[in-house]
Amino acid sequence: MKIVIPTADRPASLQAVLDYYARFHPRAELVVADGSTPEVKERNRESVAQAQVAVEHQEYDADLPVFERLLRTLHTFEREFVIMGADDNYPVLETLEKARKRLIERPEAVCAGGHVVHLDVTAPGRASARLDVVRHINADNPAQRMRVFGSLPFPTSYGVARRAHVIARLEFLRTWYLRSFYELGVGLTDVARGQYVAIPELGFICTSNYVDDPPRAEEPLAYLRGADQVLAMHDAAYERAAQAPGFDGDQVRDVLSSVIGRRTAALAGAPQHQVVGFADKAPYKTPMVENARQLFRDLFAEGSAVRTQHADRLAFIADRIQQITATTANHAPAGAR
Amino acid sequence: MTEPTDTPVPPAPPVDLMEQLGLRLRVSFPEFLALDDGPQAERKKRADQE
Repeated sequence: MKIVIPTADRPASLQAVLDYYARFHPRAELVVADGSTPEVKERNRESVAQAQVAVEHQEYDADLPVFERLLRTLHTFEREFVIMGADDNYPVLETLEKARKRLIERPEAVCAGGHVVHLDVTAPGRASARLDVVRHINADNPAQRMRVFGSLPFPTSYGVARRAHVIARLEFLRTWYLRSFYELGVGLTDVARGQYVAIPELGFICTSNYVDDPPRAEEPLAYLRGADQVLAMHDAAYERAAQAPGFDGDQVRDVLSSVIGRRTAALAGAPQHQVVGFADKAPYKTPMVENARQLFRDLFAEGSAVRTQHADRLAFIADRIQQITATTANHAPAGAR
Repeated sequence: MTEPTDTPVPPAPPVDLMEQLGLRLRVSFPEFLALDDGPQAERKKRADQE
């Protein structure tokens, strides 16, 4: 299994994530897809050379769009399974190894993963943690898979996937992007093609911080201005579903209209979480979601088993985010450090 | 009869539905990641004492 790490001009973040793999997953096999400027590439070369983990450093023109870069990277090796993890995301490989094994057992599944915790450091001393709960999407037909997924979407790309599937996903993403529909579009096109296997454990810790990722308010009507992209996503999901066993065109159209309509309603100010009764029934009120919420609470509760299991990992990540936010390490030119 | 009071009632803090649903936690940084109960903190304590 290869882990592909896209990076561009964040040398301190790349250094941090390489150190993380060396410390917690020293047998991981990494490929860095580097789209940095020449000075930063030089610094990254040093980091890779000194890494205590197997890393291949692939350098690309800084002007090459990220999805083109990743497509090229994926065509350079033959491994069946891939994890895509950017330089500020920290996978829990114990969980993702279970995901890989489930994909071997389940050829009809295209990707698998565990729950995702987002740690967003928003200002000095302030942060929030957010939970995305993964769920089994294992219906035999694409309309039902998209219906189940769309009832409570989650990011499907933080996990393990078949390499051929990731290539298909990137082929779509190099022609399509709309920020407010990104995760939904990726998820719908993923489950249109096949099943998703959920591992009910912590799978990925994704981070953001106020230095590298300053808040960018989206223009309120962006989803209307990008309506052609919304429809392009609809058509892409439909086309992928049409290639899958059990396809029924009318059902797929109904589901896509419903799911995209709900997303549009959320963007217009009426998210499904606010719908009366949302917390009292599936998909929210289910053992999977309840157990994930408990895991999430325990992750930040002293003395819990989950906390003990991940305390070292979290302390390491905290330490590196602190270094990155307290300095200009990600932005200073090479040679100035 | 009860006299009306002029004391203004403070506005209720905004409700974060995601927090209520258990899908978001407000936390301090970096303390939330480095609580004093992990093995790393234990090692640091031991190192500090040596």
